Amino acid sequence: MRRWTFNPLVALHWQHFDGDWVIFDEGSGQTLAVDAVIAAALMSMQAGCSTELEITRQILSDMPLVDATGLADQLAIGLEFMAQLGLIEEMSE
Amino acid sequence: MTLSELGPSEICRRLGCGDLVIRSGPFSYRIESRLDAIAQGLSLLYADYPVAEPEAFADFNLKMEEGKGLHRWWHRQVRFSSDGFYPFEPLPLTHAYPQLEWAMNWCMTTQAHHYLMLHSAVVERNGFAAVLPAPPGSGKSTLCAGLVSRGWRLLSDEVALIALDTATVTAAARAISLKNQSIAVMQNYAPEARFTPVTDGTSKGSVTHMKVPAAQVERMHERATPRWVIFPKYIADAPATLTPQSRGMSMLDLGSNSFNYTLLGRRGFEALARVVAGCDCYQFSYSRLDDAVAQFDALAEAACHA
Repeated sequence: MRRWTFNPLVALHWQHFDGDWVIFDEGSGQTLAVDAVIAAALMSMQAGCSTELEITRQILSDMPLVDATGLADQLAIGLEFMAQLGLIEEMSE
Repeated sequence: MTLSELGPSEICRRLGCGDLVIRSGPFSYRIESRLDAIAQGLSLLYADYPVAEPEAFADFNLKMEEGKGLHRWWHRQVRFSSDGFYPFEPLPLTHAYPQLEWAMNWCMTTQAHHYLMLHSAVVERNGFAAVLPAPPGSGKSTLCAGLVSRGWRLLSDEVALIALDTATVTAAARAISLKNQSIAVMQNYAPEARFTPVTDGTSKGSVTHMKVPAAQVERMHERATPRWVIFPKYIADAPATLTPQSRGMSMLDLGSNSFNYTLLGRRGFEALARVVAGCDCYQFSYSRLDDAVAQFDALAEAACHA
C-alpha cells in the first residue's frame, strides 16, 4: 500500500468555485485546478491520512455521493500527478 | 489644467525640457521629447487629460529621442529611455509615437506591482466591469473600441489594474491601440472617433491609437467592480456567442494572462480568486461588432435587474 505525505515546502491555499477547486502552493508558486476528489484527497492528507486506503475511506466518508467504483484508480492517477508536480511525496516503507 | 489648455507652444516647450507631466488613471508620466510626432500624438490623444506642474512627482519618466548612432545618416531612428535605461533597440523614427505608447505600457507593467496586472481590456457599464483577457490577435482591442464607442466606459485597453485588497479595477484609461484590419473596421464603426496617423511596418503591422472620449477621461478615477470575465475571440462569420466557462478554468486562464501574478504570490492568488468569485465567466466568439455590443448590453441590462 503506497503512503503519501506533503512535500515539506508546500503551503497550500484553496479557492472553491461551484464544483471546481483551485489550489495555490505558496512554496512553488504553482496554481492548479483540481476536481473535487483530488481536492478531498489533499484535504484528507492535511488531516493526517497517508495511505491510499485511508485517503479513499476519508473521501467516501466526506463525499457519500461519490462513485466508489474506480475511485481507487482515479485517486492513484491524481496522487501520482500531484507527486509529479512536487506537491506530495511517496513515503518509504 | 488639461493638456489642451497648455496650448501647442507650451506643450512643445515642456516636452523639450522634460517638464511635461501627464496624469492618466493612477499614474503620472513625465515625458521628454523634441520629436514633432510625440507632440502631435500627445496633443491629439491626451488633450483632455490633466497635466501636473513641472516640478510634480511623476511615477514614470520617459524620454523619446532621435538615435545618435551612425545609423542616423541613412535611416533615422528613435530611442526610448527611462531614468537613463534603454530597454529596447532603436526603432525607425516613424514609429516614435506608437513606441511612446508601448513604452508607457512597459513602464506600468514592469513597475506597478501594487496592482495585480492582467493582460486584458476592461470596460464598464453601470459600475460593473467586463474583463476581456486575450492574447494578441484575438480581437480584444477591436471589441473594446467598439464597446467604448457605444457607451461602455474604458478602463483599459491593455492592462487590467486590480487592487490587491478590494479586487476592484482602477482605470488606466489610455488610448486604444488598433492594428491592421481593425483600423478600417473602427474608422467605419466609429467615424466620430479620433485616431493618430497610421504607422505602417511596425512589429505589430500597421498601428494607430484611438482617442478616449473626453467624458470618459473625466471619470478615469472611478473604479469598477469586475462582474464578467469574458475571453473574446474574433472568428470570421461567427455569430456572437457567449459560452459559459468554469470559474476554476477562468482563474487559471487569467493567471496565465497576467503580467505579475506569479510575482505577487499568495496576494495575487487571493486577489484573482476574489475577482473570479464575483464574476460570470464566458468564452465569447464574434464577427460583427453590432452583434457583440448587443450581447454585452444584454449582460449589463441583466446585471442591473439581478
